[in-house]
Amino acid sequence: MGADETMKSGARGLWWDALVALVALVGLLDATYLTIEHLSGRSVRCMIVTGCDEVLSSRYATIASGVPVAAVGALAYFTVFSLAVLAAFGYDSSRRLLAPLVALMFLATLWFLYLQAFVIRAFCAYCLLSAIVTTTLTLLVFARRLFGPKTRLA
Amino acid sequence: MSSNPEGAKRALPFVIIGVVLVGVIAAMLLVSRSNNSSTTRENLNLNTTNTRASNAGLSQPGAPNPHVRGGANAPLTIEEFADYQCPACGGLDPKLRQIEKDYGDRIRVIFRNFPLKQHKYAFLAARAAEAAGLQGKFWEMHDAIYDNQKDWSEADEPRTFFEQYATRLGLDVQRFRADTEKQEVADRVVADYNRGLAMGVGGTPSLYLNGRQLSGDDTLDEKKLRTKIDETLSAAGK
Repeated sequence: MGADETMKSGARGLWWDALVALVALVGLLDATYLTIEHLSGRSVRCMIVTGCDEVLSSRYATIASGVPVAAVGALAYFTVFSLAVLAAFGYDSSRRLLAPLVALMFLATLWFLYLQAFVIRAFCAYCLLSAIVTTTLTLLVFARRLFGPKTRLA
Repeated sequence: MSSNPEGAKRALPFVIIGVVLVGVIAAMLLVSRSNNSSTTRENLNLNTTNTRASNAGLSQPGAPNPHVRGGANAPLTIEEFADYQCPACGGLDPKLRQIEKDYGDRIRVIFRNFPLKQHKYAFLAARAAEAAGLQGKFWEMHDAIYDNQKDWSEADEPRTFFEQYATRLGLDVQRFRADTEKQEVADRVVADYNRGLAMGVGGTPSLYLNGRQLSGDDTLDEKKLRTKIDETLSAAGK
């Protein structure tokens, strides 16, 4: 590979990573908002529910010990964001972790979509936004692997 | 060979990550602090609700001959809208019972059904209690259902539990079973629910002291509840 091509593929690589970081940031903001809503927006009384309330107050919105699912999502997005930022700055090794992490998030997304559609039978707009973000991230990360610039994964 | 950047560039990605992390934490702190303003919003809502509540009695009387505990001529009437599967209602019930004991015939408590749709068995539980009421044991069944809330609300078939309570209370279980499915029983629950809607009930439990809706805060905190009861009693001159 000539120096020129290395530069170009390096630059394209940067854009991919930056794009992943940006999309992950959107997901992080969304998941953070949901976590806040979950933790503080609801009083201890049981409210008449609509849409997002119905989903967020369902028992599927927390993991075993009362941890909001949204908080786990926020953590996942933050990790993706961090890995992508590092990768954008040349820490190629961090890119390796992106694919398995995003794949896991995608599986979780499918699970939550299933829950909303068939079990809770109510959709929360913010959860759907998260689903779109995760799907986008999945497409980006795997498309890059297949079609993106060749970088040596150290 | 991985291409690790050198110099200042080394730190920049971590700075970016750090800034985003701080931003997220700051956002969460800010929002949790601003939740104090939600109490002001609730107080504003209560003022409009209370006017509506006093008018609702005329248009939506609720179930006829509602279930009442306490002094017949009590100066303070507490109207409670509750859902049997709601944990907060389950928590409030023993406190209310103690309050009834302590205040004797100075207060009377009217129970109104308000089953929320997100609670799978709430409507059933409400009908079960009303069915027991047809055999004269409403309050006993009401108490049993609340005391054992955790048992039946997680079960596959709560009816089994309700029939157990009915047996223990000496009810005619066949009749109880049939009455639980009766239209007139369902109508009672629905009538209470519609009354609640008309009076501005937004969640459970909701308490009305002589027609004035109590804030969520005052409803759930026993000390604050007793304070409000005392205030209402002295305002009524008793």
